[in-house]
Amino acid sequence: MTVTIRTLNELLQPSHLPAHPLATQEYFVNMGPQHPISHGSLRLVLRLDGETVKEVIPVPGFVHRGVEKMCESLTPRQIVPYTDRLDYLSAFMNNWAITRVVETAAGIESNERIETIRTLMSELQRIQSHALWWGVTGMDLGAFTAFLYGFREREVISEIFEETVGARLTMNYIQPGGVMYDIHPNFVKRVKDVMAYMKPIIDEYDTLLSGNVILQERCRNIGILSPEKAIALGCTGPVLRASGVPYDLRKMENYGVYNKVDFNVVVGAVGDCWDRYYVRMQEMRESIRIVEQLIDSIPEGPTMTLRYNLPIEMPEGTYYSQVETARGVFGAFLVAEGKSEKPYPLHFRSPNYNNLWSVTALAPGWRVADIIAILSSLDLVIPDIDR
Amino acid sequence: MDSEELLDIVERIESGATKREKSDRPAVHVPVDRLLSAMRRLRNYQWLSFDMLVTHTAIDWPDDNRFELVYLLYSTVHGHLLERPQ
Amino acid sequence: MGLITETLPAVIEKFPGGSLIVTSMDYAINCSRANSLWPLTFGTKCCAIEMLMATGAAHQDLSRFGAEVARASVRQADLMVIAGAIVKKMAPRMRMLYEQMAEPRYVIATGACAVSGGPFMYNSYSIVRGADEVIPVDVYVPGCPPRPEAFFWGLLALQKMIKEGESVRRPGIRRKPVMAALPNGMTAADVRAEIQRELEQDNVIDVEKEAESKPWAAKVKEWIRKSSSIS
Repeated sequence: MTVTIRTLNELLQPSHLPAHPLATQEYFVNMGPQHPISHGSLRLVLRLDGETVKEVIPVPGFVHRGVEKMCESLTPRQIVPYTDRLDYLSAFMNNWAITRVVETAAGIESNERIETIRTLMSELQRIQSHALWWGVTGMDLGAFTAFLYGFREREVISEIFEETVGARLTMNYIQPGGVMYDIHPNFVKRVKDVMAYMKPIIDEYDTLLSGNVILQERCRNIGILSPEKAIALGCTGPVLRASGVPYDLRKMENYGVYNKVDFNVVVGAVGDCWDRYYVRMQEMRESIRIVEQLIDSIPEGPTMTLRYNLPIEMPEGTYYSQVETARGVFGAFLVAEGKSEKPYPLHFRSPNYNNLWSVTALAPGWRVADIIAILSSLDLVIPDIDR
Repeated sequence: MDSEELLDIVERIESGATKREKSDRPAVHVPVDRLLSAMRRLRNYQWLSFDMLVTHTAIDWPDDNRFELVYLLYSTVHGHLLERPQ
Repeated sequence: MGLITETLPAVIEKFPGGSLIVTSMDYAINCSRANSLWPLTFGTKCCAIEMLMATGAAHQDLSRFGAEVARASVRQADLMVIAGAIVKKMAPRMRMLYEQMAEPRYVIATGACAVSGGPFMYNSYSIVRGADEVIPVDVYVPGCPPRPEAFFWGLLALQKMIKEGESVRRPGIRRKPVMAALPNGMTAADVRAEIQRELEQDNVIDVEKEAESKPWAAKVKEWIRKSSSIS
């Protein structure tokens, strides 16, 4: 078995020199680390021939804080707030992933009320995250108005979170053994109001942007990802579903109260940027359906089954749990030594990391402007890639 | 297919694969020289068809002076997950 | 819509057909600088969503303060909002961005990560503990992440600072960061020992030595001499 390792310096050599003085030569263009499309600090090295992209070399690591190493010196309850800061637009789901792995390891039971609240919060955040993504995609593709509309709805849902959780972005809400606080008395009423308000809003999004000729031209049949390629690259979430693979952990993994609600897994047909766009639009509608089915029947019960001052004892072994975030599968792989509360290694499987590398398969052959559409449709959150 | 059956099949198709204790998911140990062939069989055998590499990580055991590579495989066809440290 | 946060130090003279404002050139220039900040779109982490994107949108409207023209090019921007953690790989790049900005340039560090390293201050091998280790920072906005309102407060503080600037050549007062990184070879234990030493020095008083230095010391000595000679 041989493995060839290419360093960045080797990659940055042009593959051919011009044979004729008037012929064009390959050249390199850096996108990032400071670039409006990267939504964070991501460097992409583009190998260009004229305006055609020959190769894309992603260079991540500009926000690498070493969270996984830090977690080795933290107890499970202390790890939870750090997962907020990975994929900050899916903070509830990230909390849930580490909570699930700790609960599996320590054998902590949770009740129906806790699971319902967790599911509700996650679905609300999925709508929020997709609304934000929709606005930002509009902005990336030249429609600034979409940005203003997307953030209008984000603000409405943020206020619900603020009332119950006390935070707008970094939630630290779903804990091993339950949730941090009980829901606010206004929660049910406000969520109902917002869901009634959101339903026509998604249609408004469609009228505003989806039918736009420029968006259609820039997304249709651009950056087609075949299902085989998507699976081989480990893409998950809307990126994989847009390629036509009906893979959704909410159906497969059977966690939360997803088995009690009726919703569809949205899949695309072609796997181009447009499919990735529209899968997310439909997912917002499905999430609204899930929230509406659950909001009327939140069961009674305690919201925390574990006492705060007791250490969480995990017996020796390896544990893995995963949840479906707004961007794909977020997993936590934990090895417990059985000696202390702290995990020995903890590994996060982040969806954005795998989704990022799909750009190496998607981009070659397209123009530079199409890279913007492709990256935008992947919906990357950079701190989740770098961790 | 439950986890016991799954492990039975894996043990039968790959010699040298042993069941891993103390894991919440079905997991097998594979010696490092059998890694490539084991991976190929896991992907190509149609009852398994583990086509997606979910994640790949490593654990170092300084006491035993060794590394353990962990591959988490998933089958999008059958929907089962296998964790295979080696 | 604009917010009037202060009165104009100017003389307004009315005459038929309008009015005339008489003010100093410095004030006029500093005022225009303060109210037309162009931020750079540079976000590294979660704070970017709240600081740069949410504030730019309609609910919290950054354009009320004249700072909504977010520029993607460094050379057109004069306000750098450090939104998020700075790690060792990013630090030289950030320094480069700062040096490319046209003067006068201002920096706001938002969020705990940019102020001090925040939640990643301990146990992390790659974080820069505070953006002020790399570039000078004018205003710190703490929080994880700060609310957009907190960011506005920081922006207003920066605007006030720019308006206080003495002259056109010296725009604003650049205060040194109070709590920068410890110098090489110095540990927290050294700092603690020094504080202890200072405290002891302040709290331990040699009464006789102290009395010597007072203006009434001579009188007291005279009085002691007299009283001892009587007995």
